[in-house]
Amino acid sequence: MPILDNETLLALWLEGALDDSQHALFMQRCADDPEFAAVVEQANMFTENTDAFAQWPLPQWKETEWKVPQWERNTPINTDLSWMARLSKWMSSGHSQYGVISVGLSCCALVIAVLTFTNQLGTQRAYELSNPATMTQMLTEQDIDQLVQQKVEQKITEQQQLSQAMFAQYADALQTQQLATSKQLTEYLLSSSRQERKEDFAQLVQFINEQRVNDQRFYAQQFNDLQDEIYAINPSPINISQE
Amino acid sequence: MFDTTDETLISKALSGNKRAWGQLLSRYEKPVYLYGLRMTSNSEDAKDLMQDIFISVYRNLAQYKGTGKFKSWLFSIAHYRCIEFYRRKKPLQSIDDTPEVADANATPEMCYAGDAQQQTILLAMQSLPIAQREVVELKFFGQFTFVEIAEQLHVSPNTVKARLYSALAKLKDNSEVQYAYSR
Repeated sequence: MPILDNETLLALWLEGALDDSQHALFMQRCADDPEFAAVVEQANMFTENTDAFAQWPLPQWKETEWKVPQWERNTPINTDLSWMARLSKWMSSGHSQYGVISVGLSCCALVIAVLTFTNQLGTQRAYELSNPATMTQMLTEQDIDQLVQQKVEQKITEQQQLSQAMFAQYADALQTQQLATSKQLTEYLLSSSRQERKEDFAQLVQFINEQRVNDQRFYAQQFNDLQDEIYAINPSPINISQE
Repeated sequence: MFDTTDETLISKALSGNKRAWGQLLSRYEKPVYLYGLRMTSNSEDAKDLMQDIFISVYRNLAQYKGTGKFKSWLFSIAHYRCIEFYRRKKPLQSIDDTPEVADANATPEMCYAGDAQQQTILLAMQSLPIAQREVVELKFFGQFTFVEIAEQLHVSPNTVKARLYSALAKLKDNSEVQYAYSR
């Protein structure tokens, strides 16, 4: 058996990594070496009191008052992910309902843009009808207008069909996801014991409470920023109480 | 079950989510504050140190690559901030120097610490040189392994073991001296 020095033996003991022979050696060393025994006693004092400060009050350190600088946000942690990978990760992370909303908004914006464009075409056509100089070109331009109108309508129809298909796809995906989640939750609820559920709900309540505290801090920070902005606009605010 | 991982919060914070940063802050404010308290034995210094640490974490968050535990990374920053704090406060004192003999009622925190164990721990920590104090703090209160502590302090694991052993031996001597005086 190799001879272990006191420091190594203590370290192994503290990390719970002593094997049988090392444990015997440790006990022997404690009995034979009073200095080692005293060191172990000191270590025990700390080990037994690791949570002595658990109830120590955390000071109100006014985190909303200190300003933190801007970091370099262009350097994300997962730089190895391509945009496609990130997109697929985002889609699979339960945010697909936001995807539906954003696609819907994009479609609305497209329809509005197309309608505005056709309206402008109509205005232009009215102007040309009222102008005799352009009358000679009427027939050909009328045909062009008609073609443009047809194309625009065709595009709108295609876009609508595409949007509807996408919406249907998203709705299906969302429904499937919800069904899977519900199934998973039901299976979990059925399989877990009452005690586990109790603990989970306690965790949930704790989580919600933490979220509430975080929300309060977040809003306090927002108000603080707003206050700073107001002071920046008007450096010498009117003291209402003096007026 | 409901806890968001540190990595998720960091990722969100890096993309500008202030709420995620706040969550990360509230998750670690107590361990960091208590680290500062045990390292400085003074709540005002602990508050200043905590603020220094979190500002530094905020500035360097983008450099965290997620290779090790976030807590380890955070406490390695805490170590640098703590050393800097002591260099500002006592520029001529080395981190291996033993501080002046501590008085049991030296700081309001010790008076406040109604619990005898808290008083004993604060007093014991105060009597150690910074380098040893940090190892005791990280091993017993931070619950880090020797390898993790070595990585945080940029020394070898054997140095960490030696520092811990010396610290505990020194504490034993101090308690014997105090016992002799009290008689």
